[in-house]
Amino acid sequence: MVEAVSRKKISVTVNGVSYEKEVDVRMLLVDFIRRELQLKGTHTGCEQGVCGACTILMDGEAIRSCITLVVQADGCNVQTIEGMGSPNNLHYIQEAFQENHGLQCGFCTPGFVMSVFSFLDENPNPSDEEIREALSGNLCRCTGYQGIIKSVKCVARKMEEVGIVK
Amino acid sequence: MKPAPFEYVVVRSINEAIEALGRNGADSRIIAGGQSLMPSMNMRQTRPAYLVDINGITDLDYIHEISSGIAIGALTRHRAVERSEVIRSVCPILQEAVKHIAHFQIRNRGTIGGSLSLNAPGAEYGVIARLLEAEMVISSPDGKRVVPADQFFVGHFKVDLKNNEILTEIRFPSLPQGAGYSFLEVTRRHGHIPIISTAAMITLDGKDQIAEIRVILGNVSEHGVPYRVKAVDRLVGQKFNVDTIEGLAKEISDEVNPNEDADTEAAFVKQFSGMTGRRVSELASAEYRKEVAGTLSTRALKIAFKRTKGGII
Repeated sequence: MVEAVSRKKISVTVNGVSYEKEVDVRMLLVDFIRRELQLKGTHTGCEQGVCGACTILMDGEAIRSCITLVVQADGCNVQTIEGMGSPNNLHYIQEAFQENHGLQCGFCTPGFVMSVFSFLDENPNPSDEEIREALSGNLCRCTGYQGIIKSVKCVARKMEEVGIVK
Repeated sequence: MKPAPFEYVVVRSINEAIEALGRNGADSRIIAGGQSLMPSMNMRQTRPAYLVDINGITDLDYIHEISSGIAIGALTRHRAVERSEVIRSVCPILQEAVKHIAHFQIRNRGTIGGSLSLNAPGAEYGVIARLLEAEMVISSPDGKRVVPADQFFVGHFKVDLKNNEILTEIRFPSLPQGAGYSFLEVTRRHGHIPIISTAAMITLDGKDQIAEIRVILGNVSEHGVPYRVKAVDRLVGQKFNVDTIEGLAKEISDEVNPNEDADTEAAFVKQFSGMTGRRVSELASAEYRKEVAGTLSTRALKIAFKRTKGGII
């Protein structure tokens, strides 16, 4: 008979680093990432799963960390924006956003970068239509999206040139 | 906001799940993908005292071809359905519908069992389940039972599932050979909640006359269930052309009866502090849905007809 608990010890790997922590079962994954791990790049926009600012990768798949409980990440591999690149060593997606005005305030950007990474992994040569559809789950209040679309097309081109094929 | 306090248990088998649900009483909820439950809990609209996490019951994650069509385990993620080669060949209308569910990040976690058990207004899987007359396989402390789709959906956010029962498998009959099909929905923006959804299917006989025709509408019924349109029945035995379908859109609009008082009963609307259906940004007025029901159904039928063997319009 399995007992219900209000606190639980979990093991989770984030950006390659393993953590073992005791958590409140009602803690959201986004709050664990931000408050327990001090990784502030992942943002909370809605806590409803609709805005996309909290998008991260869990076991290689893009998910909404605001509607995932941290206890559901027990035993999983999580990747956040901090794991993609750093100011001195930008990921090629971050480079593309930088070069193509893919951001202004930057609040939505980590969610976009994680989603773009996931999307391009599956569809490295997308049409405009496919890009718009794939990114419809990430909201931006600043850019009007044109710069973001341009950035994604630039990434796709970069990937092709460098020969990144998955 | 954050969820109200609860206790949490991870189960790894159907029996463990049923036992945990039974032990913790009416305030227990299953959490699978959590893509509808967690937003509701984050808003404190739902406050279960116990969450039974079934994501460990990996045996329930499968897509199998069976003699009558497709059997899908309740824990199968929407993304798996979206990518499945088996479904593409045996039951393609499922894929057409599942692509409309939210966004790919949601589809990576959301499950078919969760979606069907919730019975949100207009939900894509519900409309398809009703169109194909799917069967729901349910496990309970007393064993298994099988419920057909038209009896499974009972009311707004209500299905024929007791608190200590769990939906384990959904069996979708495949469409008949040569059947044309389509799925359409109207939303405020791409990937958002369906204001109105429709699934249609047509089969023709040897003389190009309609042998079978079925249209299901989501979020038009005052009873909160996927609705089977009666007005199309008159087309059986007739050819599908401009003359035979004249007036059909109006007949369908006249037939359906979305009701704003019924809408306010839906918990979905209650989360916006008792505002009526007309004012809530995610829903459209009953009047609008009544009008669009006819147009959308007719459009879906035309697409379905085009897809039948040799169909032209």
